[in-house]
Amino acid sequence: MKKYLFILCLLPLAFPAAARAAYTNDGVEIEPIYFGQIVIVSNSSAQSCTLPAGGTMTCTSGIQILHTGQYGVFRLSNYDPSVAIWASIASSPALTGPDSSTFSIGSFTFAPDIGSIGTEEAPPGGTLTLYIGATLTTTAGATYSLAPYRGTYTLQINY
Amino acid sequence: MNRPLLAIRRISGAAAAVLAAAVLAAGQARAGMTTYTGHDYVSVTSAITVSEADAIRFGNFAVATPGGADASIVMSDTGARTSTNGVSTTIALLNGGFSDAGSQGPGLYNVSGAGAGATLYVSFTDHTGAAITSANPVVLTGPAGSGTFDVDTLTFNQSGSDVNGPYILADAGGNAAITVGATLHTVSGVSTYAPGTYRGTFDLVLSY
Repeated sequence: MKKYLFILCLLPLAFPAAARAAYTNDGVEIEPIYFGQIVIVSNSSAQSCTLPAGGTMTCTSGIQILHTGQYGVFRLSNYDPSVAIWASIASSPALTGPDSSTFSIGSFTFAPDIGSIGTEEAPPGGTLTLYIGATLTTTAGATYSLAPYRGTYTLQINY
Repeated sequence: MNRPLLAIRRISGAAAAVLAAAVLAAGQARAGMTTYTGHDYVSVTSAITVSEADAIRFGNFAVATPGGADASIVMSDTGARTSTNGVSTTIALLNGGFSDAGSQGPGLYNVSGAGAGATLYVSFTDHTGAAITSANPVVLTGPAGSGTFDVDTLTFNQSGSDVNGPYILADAGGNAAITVGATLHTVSGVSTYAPGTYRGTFDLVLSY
């Protein structure tokens, strides 16, 4: 009687552990989010450039686009194809350059649109190519050097 | 009789606890997250302006026995002018001085508004954006009824070259002076080059 009960109790523990080990939830950044080459013509009020996921960048009137930007691309693989996932941004520090001026980054978008719990999606075959867009915003009145400004962000995949 | 009962209760209690843990573990597997680091950047630059101070000038010269495509004049981007005669067609250079009327000289294009020390890649195209080559030359046209000249092999005072092509570096003020040379060719089958001025246009393209 003792042995019978003990075996029954171990089985539920063993199966979920094996299932989790099969999905390593890998993610690789294929392309960074690139806001292109821009000329800041006027910055008395805050200016912005919006780069939609899978779309074309546009900027407000105070910024000229010399070379357009490119949305970011992540490749997710080895996910459980039966479990829906949704994406969020855990952190997105400002872009910094050679001076004290910074660009804030926000309003991230995703394609496919899995940016909320209501639009989560199961990755077909456990793999998903995720396009990531965002909006860059200047600080009103700030002066920017002619240089690159760089930063990182943290993509969070929830399941 | 009491011992077995006590023993069973203990085992059952332990089993209940393990089952609860198993359910909890399964629930956590379906409510997790993974994070990845992405990168973002922007390149702030300035609006560059380019103005032509001087056109490329091959100067005065005379063509004898036109008809061959094998005579040429090289106007280097440093200002040196040399000619090469063909088998049938010959070219005589005239007015050698820079200050002479109709004098020769490289083109001069002034760049401003670039970043300090910026790398400016220079290329030459026609109005459609196609590169100037021997197969797609700049065509110089002159007096009505006269033949044309072809111009190709445009060069400039490059600072260096890399995988993106030849470039010139802007100075600390964001300026650059680009001197441009080229090679003029007589055109096969032309029967006459009337005296006069022959002109053509090209686009100088800066990439930065």
